[in-house]
Amino acid sequence: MISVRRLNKRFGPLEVLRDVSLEIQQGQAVVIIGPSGSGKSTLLRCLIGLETPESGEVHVDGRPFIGRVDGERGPLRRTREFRAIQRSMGMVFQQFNLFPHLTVLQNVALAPMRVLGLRETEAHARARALLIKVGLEEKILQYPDKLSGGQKQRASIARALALEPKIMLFDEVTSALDPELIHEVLSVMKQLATDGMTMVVVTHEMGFANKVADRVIFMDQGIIVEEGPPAALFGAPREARTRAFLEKVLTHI
Amino acid sequence: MSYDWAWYVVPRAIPALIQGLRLTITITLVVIVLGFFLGILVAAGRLARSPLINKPVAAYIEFFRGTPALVQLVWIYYCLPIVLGLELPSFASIVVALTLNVGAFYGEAIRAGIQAVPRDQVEAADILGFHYVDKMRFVVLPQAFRIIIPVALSQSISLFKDTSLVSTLGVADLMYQARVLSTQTYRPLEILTVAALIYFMVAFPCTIATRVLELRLARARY
Repeated sequence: MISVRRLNKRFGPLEVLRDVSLEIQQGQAVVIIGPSGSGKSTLLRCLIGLETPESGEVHVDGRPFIGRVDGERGPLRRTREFRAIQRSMGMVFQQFNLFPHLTVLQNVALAPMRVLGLRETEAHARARALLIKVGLEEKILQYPDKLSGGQKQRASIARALALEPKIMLFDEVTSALDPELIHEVLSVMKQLATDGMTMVVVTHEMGFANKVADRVIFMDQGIIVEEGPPAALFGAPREARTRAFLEKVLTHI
Repeated sequence: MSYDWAWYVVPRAIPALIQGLRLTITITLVVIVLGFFLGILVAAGRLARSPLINKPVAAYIEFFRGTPALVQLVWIYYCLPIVLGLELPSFASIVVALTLNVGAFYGEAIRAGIQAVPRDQVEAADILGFHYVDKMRFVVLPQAFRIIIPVALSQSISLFKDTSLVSTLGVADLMYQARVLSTQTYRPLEILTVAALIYFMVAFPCTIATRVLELRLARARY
């Protein structure tokens, strides 16, 4: 469904992604783990076109999303289908990024109205149904700053789902949450995975990765060090770097 | 040393001063409206990616912020007819000059307000597929206006006072009337004191209102 080929991305002298290639099948939940600064979030941002890599290609559903438009030597560009493809993906951020001047309902209903052209009643009905699904029916008319972190994050998941994306990207969505609120967000994500949503999840929640992921990818210093089903990656990591990382994050459990 | 205040000249001066105040307020309001439209264009130009647009706009801003308003007024009033062969009525000429002046200030206020909206918000809107106009209209500007409005209001109050400069060009505003009455009555101190009080009685409530609004906006939960 998503095909990433030899992606390179640098910020100044820093090589954030080095020749990263990746295939994500429809219906898969792929979890990316790794130390801070390993390039996980940048990879996710490249997948949805928030960053443009220096070289490499991203194809979604077989359609070019980011690649060389004019011949072998040309610069990387957004393709003509960029907007349509971008809209087929949803993304949830660590800092929620809800629109603070709109109610929860408006946050979710705005894009269906303005982007998909739904009428207000239809958009509101869709937004309401999604907010009920994520357990926020009581907060529909509140402004985001009245919500807890977990509620905000569930609202922003609903906002992303309102465009009926085929793929959902989650960028450390529980990292800014109090520990007791993490669960409510993870359970929404788990439900999505069970429903068959194609998901790419960057997270530090190893328990979630273990239980929900079809595949776990370990990244370090801009490369994919190792990948495999969670049982294999957590149970018997092949690479020394993976082992060292897992020892560090798993010892305190 | 003592000065014999001659307040008896004031009552007879009031009608003319009020008439002048009317024109002062008219100029202010017309320039606020035109200047704000210009300011939006200036902010858009300043934020444009192309240096062919943003550089000239930046030059315009710096020129009008870096020279005295009085010089700008006089220049447009006297020089424009000579340079362009374009004779404007005096009201039009001062409206053009003041609009160009506040347009630069409003433009910078609007630009700063837009840039103060976090990048995260823009990214969220991009990912949701909003087109540029929708992104501005529904996401960026509503948040930017919280920052822009108090600044633009205090600049508008400055504008109200700065309109007194037009009296030097023979436009019959409050200041002009005060100057005429001063020479007619030989009582400039009394007349100018009253004129100052009139300016103050308009400007001060506006300042208070701006401050209240600013506090409200800062505290408001959108």
